[in-house]
Amino acid sequence: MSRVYLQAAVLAVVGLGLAVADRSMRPTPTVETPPGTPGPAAPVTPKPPATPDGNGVVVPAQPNGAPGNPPVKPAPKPAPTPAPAETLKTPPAAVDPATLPPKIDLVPAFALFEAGATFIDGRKPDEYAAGHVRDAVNLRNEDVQQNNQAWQDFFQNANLEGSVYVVYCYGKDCHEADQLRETLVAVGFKKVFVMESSFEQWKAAGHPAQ
Amino acid sequence: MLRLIAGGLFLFSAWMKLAPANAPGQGPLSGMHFFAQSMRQFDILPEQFVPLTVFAIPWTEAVVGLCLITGWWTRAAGRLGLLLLLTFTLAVAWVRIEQGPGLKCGCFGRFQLICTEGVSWCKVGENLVLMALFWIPAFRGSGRYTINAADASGG
Repeated sequence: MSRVYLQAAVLAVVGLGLAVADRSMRPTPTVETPPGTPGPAAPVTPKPPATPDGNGVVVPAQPNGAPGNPPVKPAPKPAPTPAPAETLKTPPAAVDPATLPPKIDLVPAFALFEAGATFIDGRKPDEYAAGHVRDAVNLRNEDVQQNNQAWQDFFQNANLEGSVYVVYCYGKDCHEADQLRETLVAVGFKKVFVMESSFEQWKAAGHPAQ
Repeated sequence: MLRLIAGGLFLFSAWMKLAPANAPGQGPLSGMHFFAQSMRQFDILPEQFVPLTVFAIPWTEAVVGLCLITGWWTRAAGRLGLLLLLTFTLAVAWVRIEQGPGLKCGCFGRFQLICTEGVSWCKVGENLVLMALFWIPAFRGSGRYTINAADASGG
């Protein structure tokens, strides 16, 4: 009897030893890296905000494992339609993404929207279908994990260095947006922010929705 | 036969966590990334233990799976597997009670075994079924076909 438990302990030690060896050979799995800050998982070089050409773009392997092709430059977004005058009291001030923290509230998020940032709705597809930030893309962390069509479509049209992305879900206590931001940063996206306000708050503020 | 199924499941689970990005069954990131996210969201371990734990669990699963498939130290591997599954079951039940439904488990990477809704009572039941599967090699030995005759049934 005791021999079996001794063997089990040996197996556990072997597993732990392999874990320590493996961990020492690769970086920490998930690293919270604010935009513009070098981190161990995905070193990031701060870039000025107005470099949409993507010179020196780092091209990771494509989602299907094929060698990386240059990311397709996203089509220019249509000029945002101004919100009704009675709902927007003041136009948003210009904002420099390099100065923003990873988590932002409604005001800088709207300023980024006006500057052409791509919004990512991290909620369930039916909730996205019921209403979302205008031109937002529906993408969830599990789409990246499953490497499904939604992720591949998004990635093919993404500009990892040049474009600004704003992820949102249900508001401040929503972990999904944080996780999706972590994942996008780990993939190689340079400027990804989390809007800590929900879509309902966005809509209530009179910002563009569809 | 049961030990082959049990060992295969643990090896598959380990592969889905340890395999690098773009390896077979993996997406653009290693399963380790998503497993670490799940562990952090479970909020059951202090942050400083998470990085080592996310490596220790799949590597221990791999060792257990390999032993069960080859029949080497079957009883020991089965009991270690049972201990792991008991820990997982308690953790899933605790997270389900504390945080409610909807969290991703990360147990088999992007795949699900039976339950599709992540951390749930279904998952607790699934783990109990797996524990029953591990019970036989853990206490009855490896059966006839093994590379370790001393560990065969009846001992």
